[in-house]
Amino acid sequence: MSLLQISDPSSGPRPIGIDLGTTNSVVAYVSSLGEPLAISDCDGVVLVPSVVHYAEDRTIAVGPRAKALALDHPEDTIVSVKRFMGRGADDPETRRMGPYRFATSEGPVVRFRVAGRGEVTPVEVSAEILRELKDRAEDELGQVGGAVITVPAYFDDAQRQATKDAARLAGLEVLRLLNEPTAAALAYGLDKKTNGTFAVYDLGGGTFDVTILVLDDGVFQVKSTGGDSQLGGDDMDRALASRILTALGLEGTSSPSFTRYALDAARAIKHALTDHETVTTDLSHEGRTASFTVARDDFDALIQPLLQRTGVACRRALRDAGVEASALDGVILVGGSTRVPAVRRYVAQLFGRAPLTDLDPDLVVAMGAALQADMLAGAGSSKNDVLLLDVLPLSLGLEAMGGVVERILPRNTPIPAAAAQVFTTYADQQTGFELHVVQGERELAADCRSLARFTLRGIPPMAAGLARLEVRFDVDADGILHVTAKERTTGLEQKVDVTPSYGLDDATIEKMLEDAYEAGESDIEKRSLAEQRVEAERVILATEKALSEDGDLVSAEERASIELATRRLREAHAGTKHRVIAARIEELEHATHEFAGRRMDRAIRGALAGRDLVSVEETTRDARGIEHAHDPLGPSAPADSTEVE
Amino acid sequence: MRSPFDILGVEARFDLDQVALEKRFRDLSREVHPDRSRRAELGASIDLNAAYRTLKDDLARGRAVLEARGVPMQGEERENDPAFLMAIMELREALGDARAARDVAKVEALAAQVADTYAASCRALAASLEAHDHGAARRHLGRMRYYRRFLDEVDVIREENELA
Repeated sequence: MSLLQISDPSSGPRPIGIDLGTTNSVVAYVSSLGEPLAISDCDGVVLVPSVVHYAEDRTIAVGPRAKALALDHPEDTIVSVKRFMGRGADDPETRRMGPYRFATSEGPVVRFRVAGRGEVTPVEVSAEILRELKDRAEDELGQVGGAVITVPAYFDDAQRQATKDAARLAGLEVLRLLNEPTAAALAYGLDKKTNGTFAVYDLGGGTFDVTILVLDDGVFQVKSTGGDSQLGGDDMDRALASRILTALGLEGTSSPSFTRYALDAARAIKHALTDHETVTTDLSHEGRTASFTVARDDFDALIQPLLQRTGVACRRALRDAGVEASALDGVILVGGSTRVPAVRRYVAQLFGRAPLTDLDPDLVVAMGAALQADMLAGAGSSKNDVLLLDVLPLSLGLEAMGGVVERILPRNTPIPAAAAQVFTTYADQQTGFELHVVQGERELAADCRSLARFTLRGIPPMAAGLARLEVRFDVDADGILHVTAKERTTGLEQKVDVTPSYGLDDATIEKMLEDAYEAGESDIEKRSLAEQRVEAERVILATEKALSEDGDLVSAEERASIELATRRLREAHAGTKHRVIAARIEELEHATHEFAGRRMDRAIRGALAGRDLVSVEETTRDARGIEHAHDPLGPSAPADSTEVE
Repeated sequence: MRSPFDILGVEARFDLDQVALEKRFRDLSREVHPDRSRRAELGASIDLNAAYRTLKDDLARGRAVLEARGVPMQGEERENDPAFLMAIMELREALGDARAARDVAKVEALAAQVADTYAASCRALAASLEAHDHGAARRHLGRMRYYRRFLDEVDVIREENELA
């Protein structure tokens, strides 16, 4: 069959599905017969360990080769990078047991210090894994079209954005970020041709998701989802590894080599306990030896607290879906960690029924992703005529007065979704308005995930409470948020598009893109280059025009930085790397950002000629004056705010 | 702007068959979801999702019925009856005490009591809308908001206890 496909003249680039897992990753595609197939390497192995090794000579190994190097190079071999995606440098995960060197404990992004590269971010590490998967797919299929990449349903906006960035770095066109439980249900539902209400319990190496969904004649409607994006098999390994270290007389060690050894041994013992009541291992590493015995009962007790955390998420998901466990038609198990007998028992007890386990829990997600990719690419064989309706996993809101969260879109809202809310100024002549976008279920903004902070500037000065600031949240089908804000009173609408950024500064992205650039331009590369050159010309022209019209609005210092950015863009424009041009366009836009704001002010003042202009410069940048002006807009009115207290 | 009832093509009434509503939502999604449409139908899909969310929710659906009938909706429904406010305050105090004492049985008893009251208000709301008594309808909506808030807090406490 494989031969037939290669010789099929009509086959162009093929869409692929990727399960970018914590422990292992899989790439799959849909055959010309409409069957999802996982791609294997020359040894017939489908699972690609999600491990990346950085060597002194700057070479990079991914997958089985990297895994083999982990024990001898524990600090330079990144395992389970997914748990660090979209996380800040001070994230609790960086303090859990692990062999890594972190470059910093501050800032919005985790950085590993590795051989040959200095520092790498989780996005770069993930991009290496994706590139390896893409290469494998190209070996099998020739040309690869777009990709559907799966993410844990409970991934927040920052984690999703980071995954998309990694794909971009790897040169993959992302057709869709698809939630893992939904992907599994898709593969499962198509396989079984079934209808009904199901729970998907997905416990992987690093993440836990639970999703309640309805399958109805090819429509997969997610009703609720919940989970924990830092809970999985790795945590079982850690619990066991601390016992192993104790047995070796190394309680609380920080030795990277022993940490890696203990984690690997723990995983092996965990796997062995699936089929054996008791496992005895002769531990031996760097001169230390011990005999270590674990009974399955001990292990079960050890992981009980982790299972209880999954239980809380499951009960919440059922409540949110308005479904009783007894009303479910089935419970689908996904993720390698669901092979642990204690997990199966726990799930059976929690839902009051034996879970369905007939599809390989390691492959089912990639299969679903491949099916979705096939449909989105339009190749969709009518056989697989299905539609996925997913939801927002975590509530989105704004920080309001007193640091409390004003919820704009609650969790489990069907996506794509939009909602708008109107705020007003709280001080006379206030011309700036700070917005803090957060995600999470906690009442205080400080306890939620901070997604973006930005200041809406250039509000025409007027008395407090007169301005009408409409903040609009749009969540696309990938579950990614876009925020726009505009001032509506004057009829002069201004718009600020906010794409949350997670601290990878322009220079970093540029360097990453340069590193990622590979020789051999495809047609797509050429087209992108042409497009970016045109865009660069446009931006340079606009900047020059603005400087000649309103040059008095920039300081000498600012002018110098704008000119430097312009020069750098011209250099890139003369080159052949479209990604570099794109990065430098951003750089120039960044350099002119404040200037643009001031020009906007001037334009508005011109339009409002006659008003008192004295306080225009008093842009209250730090004002967090968020008060309600009016009833919320649109059909998706957020809840009330009255309180009996 | 089309009402959520128009968008979903159902009668503008409070007592909707939720199973049929869901089915209708899925059927319409087949037409407007961005995955299904070559053209950019994002707006239609967003509107459908918002309308569905409104009609799934008792409070939002109640307000939507009033809006569809052109009843002016100035701000939120307020409940000023001192006896009602006092009763709610006492319930919340009892819940707070039960939370502090980790008294699961007491929390569940209070939850059951308020859930029953909520359900009764919901029926009363349906009846007053049926009778076009919009003043009463708004009063029921106001009370339901308090009960809802109480039950949300119960959910938080349940999760606390599950983890303890």
